[in-house]
Amino acid sequence: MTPLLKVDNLNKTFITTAGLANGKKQRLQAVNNLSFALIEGETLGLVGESGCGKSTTGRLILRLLEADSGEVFYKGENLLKISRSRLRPLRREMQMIFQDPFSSLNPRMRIGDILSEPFKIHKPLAATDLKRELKNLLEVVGLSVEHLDRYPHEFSGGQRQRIGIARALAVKPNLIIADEPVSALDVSIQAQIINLLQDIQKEFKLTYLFIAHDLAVVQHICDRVAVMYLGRIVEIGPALNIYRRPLHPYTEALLNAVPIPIPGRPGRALLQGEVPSPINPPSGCPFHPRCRYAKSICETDLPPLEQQSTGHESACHFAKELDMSR
Amino acid sequence: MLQVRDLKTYFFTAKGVVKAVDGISFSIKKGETLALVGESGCGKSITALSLLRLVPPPGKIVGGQIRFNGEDLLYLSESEMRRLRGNRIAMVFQEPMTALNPVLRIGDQISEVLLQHQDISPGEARDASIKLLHQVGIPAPEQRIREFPHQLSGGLRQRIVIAMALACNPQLLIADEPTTALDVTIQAQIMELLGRLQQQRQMATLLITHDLGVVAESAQQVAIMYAGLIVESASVAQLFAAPGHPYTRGLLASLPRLGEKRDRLSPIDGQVPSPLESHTGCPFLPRCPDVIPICSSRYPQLQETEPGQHVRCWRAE
Ligand SMILES: Nc1ncnc2c1ncn2[C@@H]1O[C@H](COP(=O)(O)OP(=O)(O)OP(=O)(O)O)[C@@H](O)[C@H]1O
Ligand SMILES: Nc1ncnc2c1ncn2[C@@H]1O[C@H](COP(=O)(O)OP(=O)(O)O)[C@@H](O)[C@H]1O
Ligand code: SF4
Ligand SMILES: [Mg+2]
Ligand SMILES: [Mg+2]
Repeated sequence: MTPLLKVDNLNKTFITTAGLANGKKQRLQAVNNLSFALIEGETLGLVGESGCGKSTTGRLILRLLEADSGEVFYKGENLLKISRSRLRPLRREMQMIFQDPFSSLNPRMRIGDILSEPFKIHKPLAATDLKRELKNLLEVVGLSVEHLDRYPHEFSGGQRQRIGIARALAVKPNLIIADEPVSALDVSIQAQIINLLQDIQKEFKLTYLFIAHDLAVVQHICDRVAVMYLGRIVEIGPALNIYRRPLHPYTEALLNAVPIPIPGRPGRALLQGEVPSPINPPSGCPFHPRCRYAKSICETDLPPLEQQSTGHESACHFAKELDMSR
Repeated sequence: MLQVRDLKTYFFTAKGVVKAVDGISFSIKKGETLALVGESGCGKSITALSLLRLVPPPGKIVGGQIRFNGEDLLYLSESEMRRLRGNRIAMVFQEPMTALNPVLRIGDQISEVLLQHQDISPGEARDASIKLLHQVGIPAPEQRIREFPHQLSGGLRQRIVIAMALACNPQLLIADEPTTALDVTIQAQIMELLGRLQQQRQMATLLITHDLGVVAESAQQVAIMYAGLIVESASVAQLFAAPGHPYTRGLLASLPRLGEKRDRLSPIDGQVPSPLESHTGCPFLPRCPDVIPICSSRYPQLQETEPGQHVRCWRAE
């Protein structure tokens, strides 16, 4: 099967002075030799602690940010090599949904205008056709035509996320990159939006790259999951397999950290240490300072991302020996 | 230790009266953690601020009692309250930077709390600060006391805030979403730390959270809030085994769970209510799947359905 999207050896380094008392410039490799593929119609989750490079990856794919090196193939075409004018029609097929729907909606525009904009850019329509399209869109996301004249601040967080989804759907995309789309929502509303995302995926045959830090949400909505650590994928595989038998100690640690809504469960091994910074990453396996299985080889040799079983890859020297089943 | 009776805190805004907290009652025993759970805007933080008498204007506590060790805090003078805050009652907020002074060294901030409430010398305060930082798991505290808050990660900052909160051995700790801004790995560390310190010191703790996983792991008692009211209170074991209120059942059903693959989640329909809405009947009615005629005409009271479990619902028995 040819993938809809294929990312090859993607790299991005930022020059930054943040977090340093002396104001010195430092190189920060946010995305490090990242490769993965997205099959049409699937949902791939991207998880990991804050700062591990999830959002940067999404923005590099859409060229909201220019990569240092690497390739991004969409339907076989290298997005990083083509001209801006050739990119534009392809950008229509790839839309983004953000965590904070409020900050991504212009506060001075009515919802009707916000939703008309993508049509103006990509597909000019006669007024009556536009009206019909908007009505359909609102219905799909569970809003109504009365909402068209209102401003973003008049909506709740969940409704604003519905508007963000409607805006992304307006141009009939194939691929949606959703960056923490439900993280800011209350649980009851989060469940509504997750269901909506699943419904429209079926209806419009969408492919999702679903960026999130909530592992329970990711496992629910995703077919496959990629776990990132310090700009690299350390494990990728089918969602349920990853949960039942993680093949990387970092994945195991992440899963252990999730509080489970069942009282009286025994305590679990906690991951020690801080979320690491991509400035001065550790030698060898980047996870070794926090890894409870680390041996001396881990301090010196970088473990490659290797297939361990069909469709399940891990970058740990001991992936074959460790039994981390749950 | 703490007994809250019929607490009401209203905001008198240009658009009308916001009944942020509309008559809630609960109590917390020594060494016990009560989790206060609910959706955004239901009144959790205003409850916490009310206990400390720190409600911002145009908000006002308009009724009720807050008994702390038998004494009603609503009758204390402002200077008596100041002696309690940060001393016998301490608070930890979601965003650690709100509790930290960005231009003050960490050691000085902790010392300041100690010097304010205790009769000790600056040198003793410094030693006590180092000891506290050690207790909250900060590596190399002798060096850290010279650093500024912005030089630390979010998790370390929250540990500092916890150290400050615990500096004077509070009897009551109020923690308002102490880990919401943190990664799940760091959240687990902080909750483990809070639990351990609470056991050692036998503090009463009010833990505000919207995460039912955190409730199950860290609390013994739980109160579910909706639109300024407590709609269910119970022991944690009871609540998860047999939730009595349709809202509680809805919350539990809407959670995706690790290790379970379901086709669809079961959300609660509708939206979180606007704080300006007033209700004649049950405030949950517009989202409730179990409505009967009386729900729309009268406001249900909390009633005991099982020993120790209270539910505010006409259908509860
Ligand atoms: N300064 C204010 N002026 C007017 N209304 C306010 C003010 N502060 C809070 N409120 C209202 O009081 C109600 C309760 O707010 P509160 O901050 O306690 O919510 P919460 O349960 O802590 O929510 P969250 O989960 O979002 O922190 C809300 O409806 C809010 O809009
Ligand atoms: N514009 C930028 N300038 C400098 N550093 C950045 C920039 N954007 C992201 N970073 C850094 O790159 C790393 C990855 O960031 P990001 O992709 O946003 O992480 P995530 O989405 O996984 O939380 C972080 O260390 C972040 O601080
Ligand atoms: S390679 Fe070594 S340090 Fe890295 S995850 Fe595996 S055991 Fe741990
Ligand atoms: Mg991000
Ligand atoms: Mg709050």
